[in-house]
Amino acid sequence: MSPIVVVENLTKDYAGPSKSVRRAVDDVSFHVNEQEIFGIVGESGSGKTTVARVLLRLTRPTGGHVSVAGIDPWSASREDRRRYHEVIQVVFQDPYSSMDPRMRIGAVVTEGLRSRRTHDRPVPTVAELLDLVGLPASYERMYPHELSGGQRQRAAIARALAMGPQVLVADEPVSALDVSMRGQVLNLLTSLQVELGLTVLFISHDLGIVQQMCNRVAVMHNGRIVETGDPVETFENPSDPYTQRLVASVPRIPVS
Amino acid sequence: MSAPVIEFKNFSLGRDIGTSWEPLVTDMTLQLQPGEILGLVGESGSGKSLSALSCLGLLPAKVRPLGGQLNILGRDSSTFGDEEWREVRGAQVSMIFQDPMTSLDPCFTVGSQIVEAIRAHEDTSAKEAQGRALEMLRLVGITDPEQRFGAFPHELSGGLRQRAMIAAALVMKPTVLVADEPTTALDVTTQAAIIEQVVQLQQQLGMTVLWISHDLGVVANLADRVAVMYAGELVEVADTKRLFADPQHPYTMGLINSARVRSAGEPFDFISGSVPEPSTWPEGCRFAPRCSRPTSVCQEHPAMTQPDSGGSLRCFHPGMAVVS
Repeated sequence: MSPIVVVENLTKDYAGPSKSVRRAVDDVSFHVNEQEIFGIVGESGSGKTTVARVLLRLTRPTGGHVSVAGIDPWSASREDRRRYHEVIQVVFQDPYSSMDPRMRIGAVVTEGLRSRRTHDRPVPTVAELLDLVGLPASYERMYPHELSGGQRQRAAIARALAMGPQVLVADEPVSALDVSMRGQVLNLLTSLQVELGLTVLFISHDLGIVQQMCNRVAVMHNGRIVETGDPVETFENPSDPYTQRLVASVPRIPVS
Repeated sequence: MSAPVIEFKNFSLGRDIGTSWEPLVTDMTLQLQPGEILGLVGESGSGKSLSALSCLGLLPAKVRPLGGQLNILGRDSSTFGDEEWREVRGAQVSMIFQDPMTSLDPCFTVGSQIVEAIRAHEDTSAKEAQGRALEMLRLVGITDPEQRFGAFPHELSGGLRQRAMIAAALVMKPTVLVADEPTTALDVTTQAAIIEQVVQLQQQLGMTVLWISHDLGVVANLADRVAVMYAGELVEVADTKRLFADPQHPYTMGLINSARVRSAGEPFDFISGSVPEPSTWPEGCRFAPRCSRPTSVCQEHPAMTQPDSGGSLRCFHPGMAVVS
């Protein structure tokens, strides 16, 4: 398997109070192989979301390089940048604030298609996209507030898949959902990954979910990756002291 | 058994929707025994926070008790006026909230807010109150309290803010602490430290704790007993060990399965459908539309029963939804 996402010596500084500098991401390097589900875990402020934002071309890096399917979004031409967003798409944490409340679901899901540049693939219809994520076609006419959190997150996945991406970034896609609903969305993501051969960058603070669905995991702490490996092995046998502390802090349900 | 410190008796709450009252919590019967930690679990919209807020007379506008009784330290709370509630709040029943950034006043230092909590109830000199506030900050595990005393809430980390709020809540040594998702906004390593702190204080001060959470893992490690709410009513109450080892209500089972970690590559458990809005609660069993094995009797509304296995339960078919 060849790497499709490459992050090399990535650094991102933010301006802190009184001319100080806060390093959110500190010399981070990793790669994600094609069709892999790669987890990034860490607590708030660990830099996991900043890494994703640089990959999505939402935050300019201070140093280092990223590339997805061979395109570096930060040095690409205008045309390549458009293509870039057909390669990588995102599902955000909060299904309430990531959709325009005045747009119907059909418009939400297909809005990105207007900027599509690759014409060798057929343009998916709204019905096809909704069907892909298990929503009835009638939802096309509905507004985001009429959907439950889980349904909205399905619509967000449909919106991301409309562009026919190879890589999907899922930034805490279920942490805003009720516990009993999370499994539906996670199972959908897993089956779509297989069906469409997607590569998934799965960002989460929930070690249990990552252990169950990711092929590999990177643990971030204070802007650095402290450990990378097989999730089960990493969490059952953590070698880094921070990972050890993190694993020990997770409240567990007793096994019956 | 000694008298319960908080007792809900067929208690119900509703919201004014103009022409009528829409029920939000119904037929709630629950006793909080002195010295115990009771976990109250439920998803959004289950009514757990409203039940907690009624213990402090802090219900939102347009929401009010509709029936039944709520006794606080043996007194019927429906007789309380503003004056009585002020005596209860902070001194007898205290509350900590999910987000300490919004429940601490950003314009005042942390220390002054703890001093305020003391002087609202006692005629104490500012100096003595300050001493007690410092002692409390130390007790909740804040290192170098003299310095933190003068800090504003935004100058502290989330964990420190939550500790400061706990200090303000406990400084009057209340009988009951109501904790509404106090660690949900925190990182797991901070959460673990805060939970340990609360358990330690609970033993030290002999407090009773009502701990509200949607996180079963937290409750499993903390509570003596667990009460599970769904769509405005209690569905199962049991000792923590029993509840997790042998859940009886299909909702409890589904919730436990949804939260449990399975082996790598296995599919995730979930409960089909979603939590209904109060306006769309079914007439019969409110969980029936999402239940894996409803029968025709489930079109009736089940009452809370006391099975031989202990605790209480609202289901016609206890223990039936077998894990596949």
